[in-house]
Amino acid sequence: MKIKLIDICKKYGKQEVLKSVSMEFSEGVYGLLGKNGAGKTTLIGILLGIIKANSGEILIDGKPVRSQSKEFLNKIGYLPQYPQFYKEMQVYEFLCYMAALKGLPKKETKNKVEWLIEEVNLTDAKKKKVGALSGGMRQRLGIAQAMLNEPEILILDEPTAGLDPQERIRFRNLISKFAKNRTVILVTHIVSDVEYIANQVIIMDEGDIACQGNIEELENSITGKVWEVTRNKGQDMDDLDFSNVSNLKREGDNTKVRVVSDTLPTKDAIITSVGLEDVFLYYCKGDKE
Amino acid sequence: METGGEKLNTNKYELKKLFLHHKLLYLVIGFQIIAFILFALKDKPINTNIENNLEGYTYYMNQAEGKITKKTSRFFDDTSQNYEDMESEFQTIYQKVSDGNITMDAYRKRIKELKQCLERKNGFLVLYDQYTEAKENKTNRYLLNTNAWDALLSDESLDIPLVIFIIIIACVCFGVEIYSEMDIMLRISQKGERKLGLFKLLIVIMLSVISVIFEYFIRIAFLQVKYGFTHGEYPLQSLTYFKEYVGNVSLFEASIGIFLWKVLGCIMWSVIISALMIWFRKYALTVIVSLAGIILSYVGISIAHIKYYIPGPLGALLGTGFYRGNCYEMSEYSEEKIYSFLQLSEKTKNIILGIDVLLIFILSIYVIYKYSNCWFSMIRFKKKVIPSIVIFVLGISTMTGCAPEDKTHTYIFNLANSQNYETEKYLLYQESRLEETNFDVVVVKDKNTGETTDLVKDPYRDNKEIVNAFYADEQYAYYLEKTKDREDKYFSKEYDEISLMQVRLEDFSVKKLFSCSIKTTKKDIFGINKHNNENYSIYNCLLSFFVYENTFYFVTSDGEVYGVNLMTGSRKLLFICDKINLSFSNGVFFYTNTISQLVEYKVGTEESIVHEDIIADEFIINENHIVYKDRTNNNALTCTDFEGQNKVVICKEQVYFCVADQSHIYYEDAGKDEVLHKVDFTGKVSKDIKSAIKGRVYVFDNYEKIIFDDYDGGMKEVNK
Amino acid sequence: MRQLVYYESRKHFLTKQMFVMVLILLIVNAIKISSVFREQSAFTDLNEDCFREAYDKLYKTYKGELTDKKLKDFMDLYQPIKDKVDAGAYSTKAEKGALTINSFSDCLFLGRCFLDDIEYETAYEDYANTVVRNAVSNISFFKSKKHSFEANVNYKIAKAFYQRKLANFYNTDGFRSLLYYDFSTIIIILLCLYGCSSVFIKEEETEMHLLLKTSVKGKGASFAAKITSCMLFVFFICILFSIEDYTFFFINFGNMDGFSEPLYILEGFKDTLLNINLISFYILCVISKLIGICGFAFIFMMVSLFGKNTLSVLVVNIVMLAGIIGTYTINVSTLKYVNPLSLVFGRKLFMRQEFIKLHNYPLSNSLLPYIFSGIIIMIGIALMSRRWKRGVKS
Repeated sequence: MKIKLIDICKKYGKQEVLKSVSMEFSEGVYGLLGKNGAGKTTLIGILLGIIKANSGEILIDGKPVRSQSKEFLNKIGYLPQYPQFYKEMQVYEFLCYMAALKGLPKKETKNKVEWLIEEVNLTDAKKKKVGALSGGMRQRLGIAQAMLNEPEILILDEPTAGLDPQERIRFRNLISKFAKNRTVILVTHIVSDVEYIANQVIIMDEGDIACQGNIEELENSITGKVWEVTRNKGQDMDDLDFSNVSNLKREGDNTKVRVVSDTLPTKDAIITSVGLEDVFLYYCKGDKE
Repeated sequence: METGGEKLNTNKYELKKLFLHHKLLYLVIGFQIIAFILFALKDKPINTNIENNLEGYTYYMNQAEGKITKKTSRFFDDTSQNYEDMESEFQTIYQKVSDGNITMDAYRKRIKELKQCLERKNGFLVLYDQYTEAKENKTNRYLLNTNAWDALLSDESLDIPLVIFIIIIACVCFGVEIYSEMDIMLRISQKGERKLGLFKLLIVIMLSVISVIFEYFIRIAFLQVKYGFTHGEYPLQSLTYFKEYVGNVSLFEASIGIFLWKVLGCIMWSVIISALMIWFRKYALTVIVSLAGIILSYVGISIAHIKYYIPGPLGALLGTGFYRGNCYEMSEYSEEKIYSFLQLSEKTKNIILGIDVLLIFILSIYVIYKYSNCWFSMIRFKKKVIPSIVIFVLGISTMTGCAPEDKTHTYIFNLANSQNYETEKYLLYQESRLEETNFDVVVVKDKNTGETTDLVKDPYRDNKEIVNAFYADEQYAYYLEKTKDREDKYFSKEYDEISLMQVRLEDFSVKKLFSCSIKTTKKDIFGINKHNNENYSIYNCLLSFFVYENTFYFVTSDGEVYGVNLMTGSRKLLFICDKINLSFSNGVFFYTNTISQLVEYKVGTEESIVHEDIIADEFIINENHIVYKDRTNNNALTCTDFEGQNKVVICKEQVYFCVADQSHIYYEDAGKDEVLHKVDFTGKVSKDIKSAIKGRVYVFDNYEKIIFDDYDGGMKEVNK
Repeated sequence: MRQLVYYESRKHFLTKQMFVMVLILLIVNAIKISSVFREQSAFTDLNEDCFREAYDKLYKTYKGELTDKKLKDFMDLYQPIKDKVDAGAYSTKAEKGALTINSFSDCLFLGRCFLDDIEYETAYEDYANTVVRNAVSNISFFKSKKHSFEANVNYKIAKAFYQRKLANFYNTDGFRSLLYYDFSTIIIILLCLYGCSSVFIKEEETEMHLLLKTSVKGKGASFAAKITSCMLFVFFICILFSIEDYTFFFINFGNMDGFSEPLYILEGFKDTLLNINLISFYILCVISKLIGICGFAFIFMMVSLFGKNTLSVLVVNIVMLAGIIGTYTINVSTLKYVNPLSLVFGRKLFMRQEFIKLHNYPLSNSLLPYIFSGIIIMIGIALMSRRWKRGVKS
């Protein structure tokens, strides 16, 4: 399936939240990165039909989404940010309800639900109420409900926020498992999540696309722009522009500072290897040269 | 993904979610119970006279009900004439027995027949009043028992529990999704999008409609049991409330019509609250805006018909006004009519109905639109549809509110001798003081010192009306006062409140035991006018009273005897005595029935025992004796015990009045003016008290003197 | 602390929705006041211009001090018309030379708009003297009975009524209607319900209570700030609507003359023991209302603190409100003393005061609701404070 967004604009009053955004998705895992307020959730909302765009078009396999009828909704699986669901329902019951909402045939539902519960490792919590689940368990339940209708497009909004490292790893593995033959859009600002599983990364900034490509391409685009400065205890760091610092680490008496800059930041700076976080900082900082 | 096979029913899950998880089922059941209890507690017959004289009323109504024709008029004329004849026969039958013109057997037979008829007389009189009123418009006003229909239709107060119930269910149905953010998930699912919004709206509407239907039918069942519905085919104008209505509608049709309006009102209210909940996305704002809208509208719109002219749930939920005719009063100074209510024309009603339906449609579309996915919503609004906040009105009926505080003691009470009482230390009696006040003053006299003082020491008594009745027992004396608050300065000169005051005789400290509104139209706490005719007519006719075991008993000039529980303020009609004379002793009333037979009525068990041998209109009792004027013996003053044994004729001559203490009877006969005869209970004359006794005579059990009111010279005393 | 109070106000009361609601309700209140004027003024059914014109002309002549000359002039005007009407020699059509339409309407008009008040005011001094006389004779009576409580009560009455007199004639319709006006009170209670119901539950629902209770100023100071902001809100809306009421009654009735006249110039307050003027009494009523509404605010806040979610808090508050109104209408004195509605409808406390015994000292029963409200508020603060500071609810 190919999803094409063409010149999507959205304004709230005078504030332009999305400025003529165009992008394309096909099979694979896409990481949609951006600062808070970049317009990621708005864009997803428009794609899902929750928010109405001021202008622009969305094509699914070359056809406008409006002409798709409700079959389009069957192709989508969505996990919202900080889902509450229904606290009084049991896990199993909730998934059956979501299956009904997605129009699953009755015969299929039981097997599907059982299988997903096992896949997301919630078998022991099957009869528990949703309100009694921990944060990580609720996220897993969220992805299970998103997968009920075997969607062609799986959209996950901040799926690992608030999870412990183990849960995060588990979740990433789940996403990778479910990503086969699907378009997965992972909306996040946790760079490490994207680093491990995304094929393509789109970085948004202030309602526009800052850059787009696979991780290698993006890293290569700022080769020679990531520097490392080592200072020992007695030396001051007043000459460094901390808005460009991507990491600051103390090693004994020394402090190693990682700086992203188009030009040499200080005399003692040396070029170092590039990471995705550096790319994020480079494209999403306030002013770019 | 497979697309074939039987699809799962989301509605089933939705219902389970709402009814069980969100406990709507309990809410619905709870509402029905509370609504019924409130209705049952609040219900009072519009026409209490019908209920008080039900047997007689029903007997004659069965003969006269229906359209008023010449035959009906003849029936009433003939029956009135019959009663006149029976009354005069009744007056003379005792004379005939005394004179020996008829035998005792014949007398007993005839008296039974007369009793049966005369017992129905009050019922006939109530029906006659109804007939007189209905005669004004013979075409449209039929005769029937109206209490059930009035209770169902003539109530223009808004159903607050129903209104709040609908607010809660709409908030729960839609608010839960909003607060858990599941509305987003619903809008992006195939079965959730749009259909679920519609389904939820239908659930809210269905619950409110079912609730109002249940409520209505439970009320009908309750009223059917309590009063009984008859003749639904009669014209609506047969009810006084709708008498001015211009139109051809039967009672049954009107009840259906009003019911359908209420259903429409419920639907509209449901849709409005749902739309508000979706718009505001906050419980607090939705609840307050809707509550404020309905309460302030109901309280604020004082011109009654305006509530119906404004399209919206208010008029529909009230319903009654759509079938009401013009109500007006004539101006005092010109011949103009001042309208308090204007009948809505059919055209107006249709317009209002049309606008209401349109509102429902628009708001429903809004609700469904908000639940649809933007890509597939059929209606694309360029601007947001702003749901209209409709104005409503609501009223809360208040209880009549009469409540008290203290306990009391027993005493023998005789209505005939209720102008004087004695305690261990005091004598209390009424004295006329025309130079000071128009009312009789209650005087308290110290038996030992002879000092007198007024009972009522209220410094504000000149601004009140002290009712011309009082009561005293060993510890307390009681009196009634009426006060005004003068809120309605120009249009009401009535007294607003009557209060029972208790005076502790030891130190003359005063306490208010209970009070009651006696305005014909009183305002409730929200300023809504409520008719209070019953309290007004009952308390303004109060003749005499006493207090016994936390109950305030009183008799009116119509012969109605009521008991008011001083703890709860609830009032109950105990019985009606045709001849205004009664006595009370240890929980038992003594009064005479329609044919002057003495009846004992036990308050606790509500049992009545008729003494067929004691035929008297006037009597008094003490602990062991009944002294009465025997109608079967030329009104001879007779004394007997409570079993009817040991009958003694005290005086064969006409007796003007009679009083008694524990040991003697004192009477003044027609032959010897100004002489008080003193006899014992065996009839043995003790002495004749010769004195210029003109006015009221007060005899006390333990006081050696008789006090009498010499209107010329004030209160005087003479030895017994 | 000031900052905390400000933020609490911003959270719960200084919101766009509240502003819009208050604005709409101010308008609704103003409309209602004008409808009250139409219903309750002397000219409700005398609605032709000639009545108002005649009134305005005559009022200028008779207002102010009631001199003998004024009384004589008035009776010279009124008596012949009255005699004519009593004799039946009048018509219901327009008459030449009539003050209004005809003699009958003149008689009605003069009686209603002037005579009733003049008669009341001229007779008041006698009435007050009668009350004093009755009270003084009661004092000696109760002293002889060694009943010092009743003696003290009568002493208070005698002292209050001593040398009372109504020397001036003014149009007090505006004040009378203002004092009996309760519609704005309902609005205030509803606003209070909306504002105060969410004070604590909002923290719970947004899980901010976790942050608050783990901050230095999150417990005690935050609690005090909530209570303070609530009270400020109550104070503000009470004052706002009271000012609006006064203003619009002034506008509708044309004048609020007689504001410095004693309270007993209104016949409903004939027996009041308060020797204050109308405007002072209005202020007293506003203060009473404020305290009563504070009582309601505390009840709503307590439910908010102990509630599970906003909807259940609102439902419970509405049910409690209905219960409070229901118990008020039952008319049982004991319940009335503890009911905040007694203060909200404060005028009724002072119409005809009764007294309760406090060690032979008569305590006016109109003070009791204040005392009970104060107790309720203090208990409320103590309970809520304890609950709030207790720790995170599981």
